[in-house]
Amino acid sequence: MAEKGPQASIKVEGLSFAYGKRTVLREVDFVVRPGEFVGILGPNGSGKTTLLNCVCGGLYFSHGKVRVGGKDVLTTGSLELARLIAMVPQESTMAFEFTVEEIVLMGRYSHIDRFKFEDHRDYEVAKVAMEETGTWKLRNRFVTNLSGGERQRVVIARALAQEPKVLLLDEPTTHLDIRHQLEVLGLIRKLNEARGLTVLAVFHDLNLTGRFCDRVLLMDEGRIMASGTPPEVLTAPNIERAYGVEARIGRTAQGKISVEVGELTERSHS
Amino acid sequence: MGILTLIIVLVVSIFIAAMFGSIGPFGPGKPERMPIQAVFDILTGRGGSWPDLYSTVVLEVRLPRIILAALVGCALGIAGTIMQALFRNPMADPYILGLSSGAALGAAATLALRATLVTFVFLGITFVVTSTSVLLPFLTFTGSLLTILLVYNIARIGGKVNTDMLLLSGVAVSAFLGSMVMFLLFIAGHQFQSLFFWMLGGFGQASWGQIIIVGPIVIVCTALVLLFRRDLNLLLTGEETAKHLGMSVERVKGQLLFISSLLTGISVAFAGIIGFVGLIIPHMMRLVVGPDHKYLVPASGLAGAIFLVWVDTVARTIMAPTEIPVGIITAMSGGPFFLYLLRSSRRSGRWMIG
Repeated sequence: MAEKGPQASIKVEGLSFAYGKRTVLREVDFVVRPGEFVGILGPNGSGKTTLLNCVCGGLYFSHGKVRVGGKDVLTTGSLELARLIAMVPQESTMAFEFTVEEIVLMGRYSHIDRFKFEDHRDYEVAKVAMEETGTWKLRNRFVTNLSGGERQRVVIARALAQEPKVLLLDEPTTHLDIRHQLEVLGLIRKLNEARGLTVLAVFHDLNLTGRFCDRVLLMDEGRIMASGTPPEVLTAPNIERAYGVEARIGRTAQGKISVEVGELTERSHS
Repeated sequence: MGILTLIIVLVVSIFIAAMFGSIGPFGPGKPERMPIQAVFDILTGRGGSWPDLYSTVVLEVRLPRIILAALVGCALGIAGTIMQALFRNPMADPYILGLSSGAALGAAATLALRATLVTFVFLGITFVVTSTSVLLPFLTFTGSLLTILLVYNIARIGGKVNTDMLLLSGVAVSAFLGSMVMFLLFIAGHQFQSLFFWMLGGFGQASWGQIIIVGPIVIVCTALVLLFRRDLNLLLTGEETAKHLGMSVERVKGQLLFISSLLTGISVAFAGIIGFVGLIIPHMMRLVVGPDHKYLVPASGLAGAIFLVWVDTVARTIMAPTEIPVGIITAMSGGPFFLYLLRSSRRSGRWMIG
């Protein structure tokens, strides 16, 4: 297991973003403290993925500021950014027959000089990343022959090989069955605790989010509608307002929050 | 030891290719053939005891031609590899952005210009006019680079080059320039017959003078592409992912496109439009060594070189003394072989590469 490195925070201030004339994010403010695990929830089209893409420096925005580990993501070079932030997208194209090890080593791109080959340390970092994600035994397999869950763990291993301080994930479990969803979420939680990685992730599933995250941001129409601990955010009125569905909130035997979804309601806000 | 094997095969191929061909004089009767021992002695620098004609034929006629074929094959193989990675599409080839049509237009311009130059001489102006052998490579190279610049700038919106946009503008520009070439062929008829032969590609005009120009460009570009091996790998996983992993995607794309155009442009300028090499060679090598560009780039360069050395040998011997345009043989032999590969080798395992 890798040692806890120095930790980094995410600070978003007054972030607005529009695709042409369609405003997607409106004055978004929030802070993720170093080592925190924060989930973003919200209905389709509420701006979750766009927010994540702004935080990782993938989208250019003209209003607001995003600082990760004290660095402005818009003015920091792409190599330095990749050593600070790793991104796990919803689904990764794996059309070419690379081996798992080759894919994970790609995470070392930002650490290796153009004129040099991968050295002992690069292989060591990749090995640790594969061991932590349970993909070491798959290292010689072709990524084209992996199952969805295996592939997602390989992508997480590649992200870890970047040795980032912040891990961003965009619906990392959407295409997985429930067992693999739990596996991947458990893995992220483990990495968050063991490595001290700051995690900001978009989720769909209210229950799993409530179970694994320290804090939740609930988004609606490009704004953060509510933020706080899972019991603070995942309330029946909040869920009804954001998604337009009835919800009953209970507690599991472990004291975690449990959301039971009921009938559709009229969405009350404009 | 895949790469080493390919290097050995290339060297052996060059030796064997140098043994083929007649030494004239052409005309009635059986053409004289050179003893294999003579070729071997001359190539290894011990040709003193053989007639001077032999070493002239081997060193001044056959060898430059073989080496030019190897350089062009290497250039097209690597340019194709770059394009397939840039477009994440195994059907991409070095000419995909219309570079060949631009080059053909440059060649057509050369012929038109020569016509004017001849007119000048006819009017009694006495100075040495630029000969076609210098003008043709220069104008075709210019034509191909201008085409790429045009296509690249059409596809550039807000500092970003969208790959689909690049592909589509390439197709459109290519069709437009191609139609102009066809129009010239149509109205000029006889005069442009040499353009037709040029478009089919070949190494008939090879000389050491050309190799001094082509050689360094191909070698330097190949070395540069090897420095981009990790970038090429990252591009295969998608531009978004490449960016997340730290690549300056737009800058690298521009650089790779420039190198690829340089390689293709210089090939077209000195050997005409030789199709299929840049398409099948990288594809074939990917089936053999896998997608990692650390191996794929050198393998495609070497395999392209080997392929064109053999194709040219066939082109100049099979119907001797008539030469078959190289482009015809590449497509004739490459097409079926490519189909065979596609059908038979759903890559089961990889060669071990040392």
